[in-house]
Amino acid sequence: MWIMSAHGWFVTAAYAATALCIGLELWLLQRRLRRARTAAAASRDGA
Amino acid sequence: MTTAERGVWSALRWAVARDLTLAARSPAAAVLAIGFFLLAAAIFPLGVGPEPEQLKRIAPGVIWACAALAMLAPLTRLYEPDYAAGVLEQLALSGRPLAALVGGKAIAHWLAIGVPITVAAPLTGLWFGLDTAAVLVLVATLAPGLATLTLLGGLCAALTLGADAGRGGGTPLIALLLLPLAVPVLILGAGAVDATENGLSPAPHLALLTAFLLVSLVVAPVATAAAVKIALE
Amino acid sequence: MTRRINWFFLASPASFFAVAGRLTPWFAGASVLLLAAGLYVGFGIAPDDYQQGSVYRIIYIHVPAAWMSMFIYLLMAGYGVLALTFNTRLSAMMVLALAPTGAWFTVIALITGSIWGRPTWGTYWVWDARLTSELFLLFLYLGVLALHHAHADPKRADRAAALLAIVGAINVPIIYFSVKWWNTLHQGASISLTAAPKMAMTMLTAMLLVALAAWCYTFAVSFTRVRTIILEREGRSDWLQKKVSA
Repeated sequence: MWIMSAHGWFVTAAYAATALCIGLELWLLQRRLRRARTAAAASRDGA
Repeated sequence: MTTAERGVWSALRWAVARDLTLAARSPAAAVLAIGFFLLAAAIFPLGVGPEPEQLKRIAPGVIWACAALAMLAPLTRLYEPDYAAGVLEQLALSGRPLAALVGGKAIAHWLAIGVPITVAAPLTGLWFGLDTAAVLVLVATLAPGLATLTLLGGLCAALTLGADAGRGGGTPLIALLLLPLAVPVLILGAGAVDATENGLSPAPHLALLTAFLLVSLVVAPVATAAAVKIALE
Repeated sequence: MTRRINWFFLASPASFFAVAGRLTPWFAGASVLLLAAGLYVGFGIAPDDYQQGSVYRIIYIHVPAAWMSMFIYLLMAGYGVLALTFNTRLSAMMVLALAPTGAWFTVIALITGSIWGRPTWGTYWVWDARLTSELFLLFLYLGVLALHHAHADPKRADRAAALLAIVGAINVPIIYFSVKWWNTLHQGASISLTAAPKMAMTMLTAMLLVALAAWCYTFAVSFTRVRTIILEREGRSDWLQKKVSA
């Protein structure tokens, strides 16, 4: 099917790049969320 | 004229007079702007080669881009000094229409910086081998075009007021904000000169440039006044 | 339905925090399902294109990503208007919550457009109207984020970013049309990536499904991000302490 077509690798590259971008966005977001949670918890413990 | 209209005009005239007087006291800004413009334009042939045909072809875009870039650095001096000295706050509280004061500052800035760049432009026309008609059109596009960029640039400068230079403020930030907004003006300005070089009429470009200027004259000062108020809160 | 909920809870970060937290998993799940459905239709059912063969299937992400990049900018500007007129904190936070997602979609549109261009037009980049406008749209997004980052005072940062978002939104169509016009003047660059296959029903369906998936993704991610922003700013407040320790 598509993966065997002559241009299959361009399609793969496009979808892979998209997955990478989405992955990066989600990873950065969860990193930011985790930091915010830790900071909020710390201020509770510290306060 | 109604009292309100008189208030707008007098505020405008006052702001133009004040800023021009200040600019006259430090002509360095204008000199530097011209110097940057000419230098930036001059290094292009060094990069692409002196071949006249090629230079003639890239001239409209290169010259216009350099003019736009030369407008950037002086923008930091449009509001920052007044802001730092507390003058901006006084102006906002003065009861005079802020948009008119802002508009006046933009006009003065264009006269002090934009016009000198426009006057220096024919020299770059010579360097890039533009014929007389093209040079005339270049000047004709730079005049309203740089005025529009001044209005838009003033908005961007006001938005960055009070921004921490360490966190990414200053000229690069103004550049990032202004240049996307400058795209239509650049396309029209360079396009007009390009059209002239190819024997076509630059009239539609000039008409659109004028339209952009008129719209900016109405919209930009209001938005800039809002940005100034945000900075003063 | 969602719009009414947004309106109602727009004023209070506290209630929005809870509602957004409950809705996010649903949007995330819907996004995954819609994406799977879209890709199934797009790859399993839709036929090859007469001219482009299979490569056109990049369209299933390229076009939805481009749509999202524009819609999110408008939505962001809309929240900017709300933030400046009604002075609601939450609206300002939504501007910042949407901007990164919009920027990422713009990046995806640019990359997929570029990859698509190589086999179809022989080059990784063309200055066609849409790609060029997308590029400048990315700069507009980066400008909003950079401006917000440059201001240390969060309230001023919020309001300046909101104003810039509005100004940018007005300029998006202006930039697009001027670039389109510029494109037609310079014949050499007038190849357009969207001279795409005539859309068979199945292709259109797949694209719409992926677009819906992208919308759900946007809600899920921007809700999560706005909750993060609320945490960052109001982490000390009582109602949040209870939530965090719960």
